[in-house]
Order: sequence, then structure tokens, then C-alpha cells
Amino acid sequence: MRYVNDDEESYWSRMFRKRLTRRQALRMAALGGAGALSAAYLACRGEGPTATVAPGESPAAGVSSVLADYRSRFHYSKLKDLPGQKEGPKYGGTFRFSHYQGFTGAWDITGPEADALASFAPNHFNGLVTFRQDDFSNVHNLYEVVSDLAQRWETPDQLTVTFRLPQGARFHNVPPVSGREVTSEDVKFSLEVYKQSVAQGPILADVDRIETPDRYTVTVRFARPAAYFLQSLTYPVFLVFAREAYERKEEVFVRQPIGTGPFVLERWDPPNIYSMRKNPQYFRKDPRTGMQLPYVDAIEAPILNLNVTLEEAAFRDGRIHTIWTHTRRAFDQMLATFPDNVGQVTTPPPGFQPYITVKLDKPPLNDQRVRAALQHLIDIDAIVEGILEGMAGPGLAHDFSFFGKEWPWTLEELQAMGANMGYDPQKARQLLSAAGVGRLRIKFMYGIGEPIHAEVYRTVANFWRQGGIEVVQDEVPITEIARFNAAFFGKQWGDVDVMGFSFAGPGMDEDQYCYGPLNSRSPRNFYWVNDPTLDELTERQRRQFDINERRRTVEEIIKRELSQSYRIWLVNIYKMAVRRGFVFNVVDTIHAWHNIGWGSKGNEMVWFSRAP
Amino acid sequence: MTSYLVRRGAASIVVLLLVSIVAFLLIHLQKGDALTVKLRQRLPEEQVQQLRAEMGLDKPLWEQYWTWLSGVLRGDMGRSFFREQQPVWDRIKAALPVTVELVALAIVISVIVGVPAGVISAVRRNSLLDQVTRLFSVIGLTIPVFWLATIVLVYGGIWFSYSPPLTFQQFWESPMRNLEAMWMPGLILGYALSAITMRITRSSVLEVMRQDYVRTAWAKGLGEQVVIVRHVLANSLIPVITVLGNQFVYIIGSTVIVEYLFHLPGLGFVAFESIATRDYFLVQGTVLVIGAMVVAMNFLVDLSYAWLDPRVRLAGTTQI
Amino acid sequence: MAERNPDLAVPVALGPRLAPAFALEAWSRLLRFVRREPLTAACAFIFVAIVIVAIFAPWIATHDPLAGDPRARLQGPSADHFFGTDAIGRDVFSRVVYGARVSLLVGVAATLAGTVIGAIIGLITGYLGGTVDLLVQRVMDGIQAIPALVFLLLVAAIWQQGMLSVVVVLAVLIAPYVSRLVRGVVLSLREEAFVLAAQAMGARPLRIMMVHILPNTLAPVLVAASIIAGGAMLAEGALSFLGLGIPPDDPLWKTSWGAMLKPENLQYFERSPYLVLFPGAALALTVLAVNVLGDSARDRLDPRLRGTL
Repeated sequence: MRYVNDDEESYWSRMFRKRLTRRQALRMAALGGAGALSAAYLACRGEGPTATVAPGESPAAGVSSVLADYRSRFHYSKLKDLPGQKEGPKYGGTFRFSHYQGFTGAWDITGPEADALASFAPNHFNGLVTFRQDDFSNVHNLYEVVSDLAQRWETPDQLTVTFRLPQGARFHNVPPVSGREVTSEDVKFSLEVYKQSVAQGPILADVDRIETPDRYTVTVRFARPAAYFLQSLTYPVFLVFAREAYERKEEVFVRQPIGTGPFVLERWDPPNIYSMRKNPQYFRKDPRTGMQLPYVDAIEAPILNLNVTLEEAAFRDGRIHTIWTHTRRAFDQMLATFPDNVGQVTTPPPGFQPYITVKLDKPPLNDQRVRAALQHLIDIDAIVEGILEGMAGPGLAHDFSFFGKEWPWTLEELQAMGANMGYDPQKARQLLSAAGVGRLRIKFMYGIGEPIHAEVYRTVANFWRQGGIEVVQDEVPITEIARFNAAFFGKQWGDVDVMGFSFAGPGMDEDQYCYGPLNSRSPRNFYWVNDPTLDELTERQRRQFDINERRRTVEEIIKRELSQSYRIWLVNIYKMAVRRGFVFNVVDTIHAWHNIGWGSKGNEMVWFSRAP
Repeated sequence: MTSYLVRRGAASIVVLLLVSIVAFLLIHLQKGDALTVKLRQRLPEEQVQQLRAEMGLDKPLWEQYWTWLSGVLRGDMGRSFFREQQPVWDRIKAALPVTVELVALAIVISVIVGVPAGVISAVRRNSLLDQVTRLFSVIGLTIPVFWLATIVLVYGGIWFSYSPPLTFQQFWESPMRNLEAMWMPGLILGYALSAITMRITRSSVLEVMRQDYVRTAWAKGLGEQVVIVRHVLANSLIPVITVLGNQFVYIIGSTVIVEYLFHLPGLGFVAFESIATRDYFLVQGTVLVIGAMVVAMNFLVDLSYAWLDPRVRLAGTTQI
Repeated sequence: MAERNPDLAVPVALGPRLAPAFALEAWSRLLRFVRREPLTAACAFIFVAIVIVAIFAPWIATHDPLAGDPRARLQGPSADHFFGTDAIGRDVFSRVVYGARVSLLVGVAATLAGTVIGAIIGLITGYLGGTVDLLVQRVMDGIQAIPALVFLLLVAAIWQQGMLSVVVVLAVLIAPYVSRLVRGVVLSLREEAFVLAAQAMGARPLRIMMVHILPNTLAPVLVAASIIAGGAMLAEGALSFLGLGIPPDDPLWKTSWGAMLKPENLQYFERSPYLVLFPGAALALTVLAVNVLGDSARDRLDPRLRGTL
């Protein structure tokens, strides 16, 4: 800024009329500002405290009335008689929803980012088997393996699985693969690459060799019985690709996803747009209707990176067809934007929830009593009722659907399994003094990429502070993801004591919630857990083909973990999605680091009952 | 004049070199690298080393810098670690027009609004109109850009059902779609800038009006319009141009926030994203290009100093 | 220069006998000041009020700015919570009160550090000239060629986030502007008669700089500093807004206004506008007050510059 001399009292300046000073102008500014403020203040005052949970008895034990109400009103079973549903699927239309950048690198589905690519790559690739995804699936169907690229499969004994491929399933018509037919050799090649890779490798660890008796048959032979294998294979990272593409990794493989999948990539241009069009020679038919997939002609996904304001505005004026809301209030608001909107409340995903990892080998955190005290200082009910407006249950990264449960465990059920959960500052104090800890200082690092999770972590910090613990918060914004990853995955914790992390698992089988995080030899054990009891149990459940036997072992694992408070559990947030009334088979297929609707898996099933 | 130009040109190159060294050192000092951004699991140590070696991150810093610099001198800014190893220049080439357009829009808006407002408020000094325009200017100077943008995004959506388009198109692809995305962020930046333009225009006009030749023009009995337009305005725009040039860095800096909030894929966005992902070559390329733009602008401003009689006495700044 | 303005003439030699008369004199002077320049007075009042709020924050705040009741989240203003509560049930009023500390401290500390460093550099390079000047000027150009926000993003993760790193970085960014300003003044003074005379009389460079040149740079530096302080506050706000400034819920500093405006709060804007309105208004008001006071100081220190706002 420059200052220019202009204000000497001269004849010429006096010539100009109406003497007011600039002080007066500034005073007007100040008055105007104050006026606007007080107006805003008055406008705000009208809004009283927002009631979060209506008083009254809960219909289901341990579940608030709000949650019970939403769970039943927006249950998947309510989707059956919607207008347009009876006539069955129709073809055509462009499906639009907001996407996020998700992965930073190339389309390397064999690389370290394969987990993140599970939200993208299934649009363009197929695995051998998958899980059910349509409006009629729910958690009960999760352990129901359905065919994807493999038409049928047989398990003659505990050490063998044989997959039969269809004839005439072709790769995209993109060079260098150019629409060639998929053969057993491709499957063998892909699985062998995955066996060496970091994301998929652990699940294939028990695979001994892969044989291709003929062009359409693949036989997987195991070194040891692997009870978890087939179910784990539905995790959409075991995608079949072509050898000739992989061999030209830099020029082809990482640049263009060439698979057998329902859509051919058109444009991947973050942070702008992710678009694709229908694969005209797609092999797969809808298992329910027998109709050729995919139903929609194209998908156009603006990449908004979870910019809630932009997303809600776009849903409001009809530019996107579905939205995943973060709060119940937003869910209600979005539901009201179009008269035919459909809402669905689905189970919280075990693989994506805020929870806290403890540096278990650092005194005094190596003392179970200290960890239990930290857990007892957190009022989970208050977080659920307050921050999450009732739409959450207590957290635990184990798959409740493995036990045939539709909804996650309640606090009472977890306590019955030996969890040191439940708000009890008195007990926490006793535990701390029993452990001989006077003053406890904790450095608490957490990511704030998911805003609602950040609120939960901040609340936890407050609870600890109220319990007399000195908490130093280290909030890591999305711009610092490198620092966060270096700490979490690189085990370079520095002086951090506890870390808030949102991804658990991920997994399609309970094994990935047992062996993965809890076995001391597992590459996915980011949690400092080193417990011989858990090592033995997690190994044992991998070999148990009898589901009831395996359930008993898993229950033992959960009890052991809970009683030791290896991880501090917070909440598991229900998912609330709203979609336009003419869109079917869509709910839960986006943003879902979850069993149902694993990322993009399921977009091929989406159909429109009428043109938007 | 020629020797002046040569000296300034040489100085600019030194400055750019310094910029690139500063950017290089700072980004390498940050915790974590591009590999850790990609991580979703724990890699075995030997695999980490191998991946680092593939990315060229295992070499000593000076060697990495020299590789990059010699590449730049050959016209190759290197490749991004992400996005299918896209060449850095491709990315910058796509982002540059967005930022240039945004800055140009802001400057045009600030000139269209700020200059007439400044002239009117100087000519009708201390009138109600003057007070109103100054009020407008003061608010523009004190409201944080990010706050204004936030309020526009939310209340714009609720009251005027305004929301920016979800996908961006370049001006030459679709002018209407492009302007639909750009006008509001341009207006917000332009407002902050027009407050400054208006202040400078006003004081500059007031100063010119005291000059002898203006007095003579009045004395000759020329009409007000003739005096103001031909004698006053023409002579008072020089400091305005200078100040606009000096505000250039500030506007570029503000584009980071505005592009982030309005989701525009410009240089500010690229800078933000590449710093976050430790995409070293992209960071260096982006900062270098931004620096080059700033240096070029300063150069032009200096030229205007050298050519025109500067009537600006003191240099300072309100915005850093 | 200050002596030209009667309001600022400080009664230095007043004996104890005159004390009551002085109090009366001061009071009437204050009244005159308020009557003559109501806006400056208002801004001075605002500024003093903010300073008082910052100093006595623990007594003014009605709640613990870090503790909140999650069940009472996103409430509107009430007798208990003047500005309502935020997304995790903390009292917004108390947080705004504590935020004043951060804004003021960052504004003052960064400006002071940057101005002192910049003034020293400008003084030395301006007076000495030559190669040192050339070299230092290029470094300054280099710093100024990187937009502040980009620079701040670049250094964000090098150190532990915190007050000190924000202040240091802002000071580094402020120094070049001040050094330019001072250098310009020094260059114009170097050939003035009184400097040449001092040189002819054999005064050493240090003495000339301190006695003859430095006092003359004070007025423009002071004026620039007041406006830079406003800019520094805005910059801290922007930095915290991006999550790179003072860490939110810092045990010592509690929170900053910018951090309260974070983009993630956008989603609650519609139902709880005060969440964003109050801290934003506090920041804007403080910057306004600082700017107006700086303007007023400029008028007093150098009347030739009056009226440029």
C-alpha cells in the first residue's frame, strides 16, 4: 500500500462541497458492522437448544428411541414397494454422485494403494467372487458369496478351491489388451502378482500354488486349510487384469484401468471429474433378474472431496442423485429436498469408525489398568446422543454380521463380553491410583479428514481432561497426511502416546478383524498388540471350517481384546444415505468402506425407473 | 535503458534461483514424503527402500536439486509422483489459465469498480457518495477473504440458490460454464482488491487535482467532465497501476484459499495439493512458476517506475 | 514531528504540585479527542477493550474454552452461552474471548519481530549500499516472490505447529517489506545536508545511522507496522483456517479465531450461523480497529499523509 499526499487544506480541496470527514465514513462502517452483528445475534437467539434425543423408553434394549425409530423407518425392507420398483430394472441414464479423490497415485491395483482403489477399480475390473449388492441385501447376506468373474466354484477338500470361468468374458476394447477373452492364465497371473503385494498378500499367504487345468478352470491349492479364504476373496481388491497390460506397467497399467468391468474409464481428472461409460460387451448378468448389466449408460462423478457444502447444494438442485449425509439433521434436510426422495439408514461399517490406538509398549500405557481407566473416562452415550444426534452405537472393529446379527453390539452386550466400557470416572481414578499413576500426560494425535470423526476425538480429549489427565492434542489436517501416515503405518510415533484412526480392517471376513490387527506377525497389526494368547486364537480361527466353532474362537478373541483394552473404542456411526426416487440399487455403494457396497462395487446394478 | 533491463533481468534470474532453492529446502524439510502419502499399510523395510529408490528419494539432497534444476534448464520440470507420473509441466499448463483468469478477473473487477468509485469519491469529496464508497472500501480491507467466501458459499446457497458448478471447464471449452464457475470467486477477490484500488485512486486524484495544470484547466472554464477525464484521470492512474502490480503477490496468495473453497483446479489448488502430498517436483515447479509470475510483474512495475515520473512517495503494505 | 500536534505533547516536566491540574487537563483533553475524532476514539475503545479481554480472558470467559458438554452441542445464544455452543458443545463466547489473545499476540509479536529485523536490514543495506545491499535485496525479493500463504504451507509441517512457528514465519515475511521501506528512506536521507555534514565532521557510520537516520525512519515504520499488524492477524486467521496455525485446543492458547472458522464448520453454518459469524466479526473488527488507529497515528506523525484512507 502506498500513501499519497492529498489532504492539505487548500483552496482546491475546499472547492469541493459538503465537508464530511473520513472519520465519519469510518464511523458509519463501525456502526453498520455493529448493527449487522446485533441483527445476527438477535436472529440467532430465536433458535433454542436443539433437542437431540427424545425422552422416553427405548423400544430395543440399549438402543435410543431415535435410533430405533430411524432404523426401522429407513430400513432396507422399506425399499421393496417403492413406485417404479415393481416394473423392474430399466436401461439408460447417467448416474451422478459426488466422489472423492481417494487415491493419489496411479491405477496400480497391485500397489500399496490397492485398498484405496477398492472405491474406484471395481467399476473397471471384476474379482472372482463378490457379495450381494442390491436394494434387498443386508448384513445377513454378507457371508453369502456370489459369483463375479467365476461362474461356479467347488471346494472338494479343505486344501482346494476350483473356480470355473465363463466363456466369452472379455477385457475392455483398449489396446494393448484389445477386447481379448479372459482365461485362467490371467487369473493365475493376477493372483500370483497379488501374492507378492502388500495389500492382498496377507490374504493369499496360505496359498501354495495355482493351477490352470484348462482355459476356463483355475485351481487354488493351499498349504494349510484357510477357512477365511473364499469370503475374504470377495474383498474387491482381487481384481483380474491382463498380463500384457501389467507387463507395460508404466505406460499402460498405471494409466488406464483395463479390466473386464462394467464401465470403461473416460476421464479421471481430479479434482474435477471422474467419468466412465458403459462397457458394451460386459459379461455379467444381474443375479436377481438375469438381465444384462450394467443398467446405466454412464457415470459422471464430480470430485468434491467431501466438501459437504458443495455436495449438499448439488443434491438440492438435482445435479447429483445420491448423497451420504454426516448428521441426522442433514439427513432430514436432504430427504426433504425432493418429494420422491428415499432415505436409507444402514448398519455402521466395522471397518470405518473413529477409535483410538494406544502405544502399548510405553509406560504407563503398557498397564492394562491405565488403558481401562482411559476407556472408562469416555462417556460413549453422551457422544452418541450429543455429537452424533443418536445415530451411532458403541464402537468395536469386529464384524457383528459374522455372528448373524443385523445391528452392532449394544454397550450392555459389550460389557457382558468383558469390555471396560461405560462412563465411570470413579472407577477410572481407582484404576489409575492402583496402577500408581499420579499425573498422566498424553499426547493425542488424530486426523481430521472426516469432520464428524474429528468432533468425536475432540470430545474424547475433553473427557480425558475432565478426568484430570493432561492432554496435548495434535490435530493433523488433511494437508499433513504424510506426517500422519509416516507415524501410523511407518510406526514412527515420536512422542505420541495415543492415535485416533478411522480405518479398521478393512475386511470382508472377520479374519481381517482378528488375525489382521491382532496377530503379532500380521503386517496389518498397526496396534502394538503382542499377545501370545491372541496369536494362538487368531491363528486357530483361520483353520476352523465349522462356522460355529469359528464363531466361538472369534468370541474368545473379542473377549480377550476387550478385557485388555488394547484399543480404545468410541462409537460406530450409522450410515445415512439419501437418493432420488427414480434411482434404485444404489444406497450404500459409494463412500462405503464397508461390507455392503465396497466403494464402487455395485454401480453396475444401479438403474433408473425414469429419466431424471 | 538496455543496461538497466539486462541488470534487472539478471537479478530476476537470481531471485528465481533463490525461490527454487527455498522451495526445495522447505518441502524436503517437511515430515513424511510422497511414499508415506501413498501408504495404506506397513511395508517391509526393504520394500520401502526399493520404492524410495524408484522415486529417486534416496539420493542426497543436492543431487536431487541438481537433477531437477538441470532438467528445468533443459525445459523438463520432471514428473509428478502421483497421477500416473504426469509431467509437471502438463499439470501446470492446465492449472495456469485458471489462476491467470481468476487474477485477471479480480483485477478487471477491481479496476471497473475501484477506479470510478475512487474518482467519484475524490471529486465529490466528503459527500454522502464519498462516505458510502469509503465505507465499502474499509470493509473490503478488513474482512478476511476466507470468511467472505465462506459466507457467500453458504448464504448464497440458501438465499439465492447460488452454488458453483461441480465440474470445471476451461474458458475455451465452454465460456459460459467457465464464467459460471469463475464469476463469484473473481468477485470476492476483486472486492478485496477494489477496496485498495479505490483508496489509491481517490488519493491520487486528489493529489492531481491540486496540480497547477488542473487549476489552469478549471480557470480556463473547461467543463468538469473534460477536466476530470482528460487532465485528472489520465494523470492519476500511474500510482494505481503500481499498486495493483504490488498487490499481485497478495492476490496470488489469496487464490490458494479461494480455489480451495470454490473447488477451482488452479495453481493455488495445485500448490496446496502438491505440498500436502509432498509431490516434490510439482511443488518446485508450481512455486517456480508462481515466483516467475510475481517477478515478471515486479519487473513490469519497475519498468513503469523507470519510465514514468513516480509520484508515489512511500512504499508499504497492508496485506502480507 | 510529534510536537506539531498539541494533543500529543506530553507534559514531561510536571511537578507533583501540578498533578490534580494535570488530571483535569487530561480528562478535558480526552473529551476533546472523543468529540473531534469519534471514530478513532471508538476504535481506540474497541482496541483497548480487546486488549483487556485478552489480558483478563480467564475472568471474562464464562466457561472453560476447551471443555464442552457434547449433549449441548450447536445451541443458539442463551443467557448461559452468550454466543451459543459449537459442534462439540463448547461455549463459543469463551472461545472468542480466548481467541483475542492469539490474534493480538501474533499481530504484535510477528510485527515487532519482523519490523525490528527488517528495519535493521534496511538501515544497514541502505546506508552501506554496494554488494551487500544487492545480495540482501535479492534475498528479500526471493522471499517476496513466494506468496505468503504458499510460503506458510511450505513451512507448516517442519516444526511443531504452534505460536512460535507462526510468529517466526510471519516475521520472516514481514521483514522484507519493512526493510524496503527503511532502505528507501535511508537512501533519500543519505544525501541530505545534515547527514553529509555529520559525515564531514567525522562521525562514525553507526553514530550517523543511530542518531541522524534512525529517528527519521520511525514515523513511516510505525505507520506501516500498525497496518502490517492487521495483515498479520488476517494471515494467522487464514493459516488457522487451513488447519496449519495455532493448534486448536492448545492447552496454553486454547484457540484462535481462524481455527474457529475452519471449513469443516461450514456444514453447521446453516443451522448455527453464529458459529462462524462471531469469530469472523471479532477478527474483522480487530483488524478494522488496528487499521484505523494506524491511520490516525499516521496523521499525527506525518500530517502530509492525512486522508489517504
